This record gives sequence, structure tokens and C-alpha cells, in this order.
Amino acid sequence: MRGGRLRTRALCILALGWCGLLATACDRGDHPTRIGVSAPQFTVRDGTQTVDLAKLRGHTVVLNFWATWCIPCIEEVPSLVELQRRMPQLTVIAISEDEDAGVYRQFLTDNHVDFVTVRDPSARIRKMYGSIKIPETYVIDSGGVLRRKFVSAQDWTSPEIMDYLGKLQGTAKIGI
Amino acid sequence: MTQVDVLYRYGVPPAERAVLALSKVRDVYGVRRMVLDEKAKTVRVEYDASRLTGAVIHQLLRRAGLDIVETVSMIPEPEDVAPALPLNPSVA
Repeated sequence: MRGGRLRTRALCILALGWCGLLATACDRGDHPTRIGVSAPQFTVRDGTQTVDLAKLRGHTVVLNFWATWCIPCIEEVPSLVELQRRMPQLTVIAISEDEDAGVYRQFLTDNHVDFVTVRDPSARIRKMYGSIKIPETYVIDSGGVLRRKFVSAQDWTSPEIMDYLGKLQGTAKIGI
Repeated sequence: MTQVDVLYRYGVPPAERAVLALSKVRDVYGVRRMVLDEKAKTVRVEYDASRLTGAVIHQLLRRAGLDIVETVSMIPEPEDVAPALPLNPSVA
């Protein structure tokens, strides 16, 4: 009798333990929280360039956070240039955290960066997106929804990424 | 993730501008920790080797304006060991 009660109690404790383990194992908390929601709207001016995200509604936007002093960031710049060249229907926007306007301008000239870039030295926009490190890139669909976040430098001309962006534009065209 | 530590010795102490630039290096993906030891004139960087390389870390610090003199080995030097005594001193 007493043995049966003890066994039941032990089974209950075991079951509760398993439930706890399952609950913690399922939610590791490392999924970007903002994916699938509307991208934070912003307007940024640096005296040379102005970017208003609201005006890009209807376009797929690749929003990249970078700086000229950030080596991994500048490593991915050529592939972003190439991405914009190969997919002119999407808009690449790079927001730089450079404080020195001269160094920033010189970098753009030297590296023939011809996609849209704008300087935000206070990192206001990056913080708005909840990013803490660079390089980081968000893909925003034509409806203004954040679809994907890429951390660290990427090869933007890799078949996987090109295919993903192509499909995203395809779904936008047929209104999905 | 592969965590790696690297230690550099610097020559000229970083000016305020360089210190500010160095603090920004922490914002780069893969840089996990950075400790500047003014007394020992060293900077220790802990980074994720699956994202960055030692060369990238070196360049990040140089671009921030740090006068890196050398990379310091983090493996402790073996202590001086007394020469072994002959097995049978009477034979020698």
C-alpha cells in the first residue's frame, strides 16, 4: 500500500521533471523576435542622402547595418553591390555607423558602392531594429514585413540567398 | 562556436579617440570580449573563430588606432628546470 503510494509520487515527480525539461528544450529563446512583424519605419538623413523606408513599400528591401571600420562588414560589400546589380528590382539599403563622413565618402568612392547608403553615426536605426552587433542584415518584403535576419557577413550572391530573394519577390508579385 | 583568445602588446597607449574606437570593436559579430590592461600594455580579445580570424581581429584593432607591437603567447613559459643529476655520481 505504502509502496504503491511512493511509486505514484515518484512517477508524478518524474513526469513533472520531463515536462519541465521539454518546456525549456523547446524554447531556447534564440529566434529573432521581430520576424513576421512590420519593419520599424524610419527616415534618416546624413546631409547627402535621405532614406525613408515607407517610400519603399512595394519593393523587397535588403537592409544592411555596417561601418567602414568593421572588417567583416566591408568584406560583404562587394557581394551586396553585385546583388543589387543582379536584382535591380530589389533595393539594397546600407546604414553605416561611421562617425567620420570623410572616411565614409572615400570608402564609397574607392569601392564603387552604388547601392543606397546613408550614415547614422548614433546607430539610432540599428537600435530601433533591436540589433546589438554588426554586420547584420534584414530582409523586408514588399508589404513592409520583416521576413529574415542575417547575422554576420554573407555572400549575397550565393545560390541559396539569391534563390530565397527571388522566391520572395515571386510571392510578392502574385500577391501572397 | 569555437572560442579563441588572443593577446596583443601595444606600444603607444591609445588616446581617447582610439579608446572610443576600440569600444566599438565589441559591436562586431564574433567579438565576444575585449580587455585592455593599461599596466601591462596589452589587449586581450576573445572571439568566435567560426566567424572571425586572428588577422581580422588584428586589423580591427589597428584600424581603431591601437599601436600593436606584437602578439603575446598565451602559453606559459616552462619554468627553469635544474639539470638532471647523473644516475650514479660515483661513476662520473
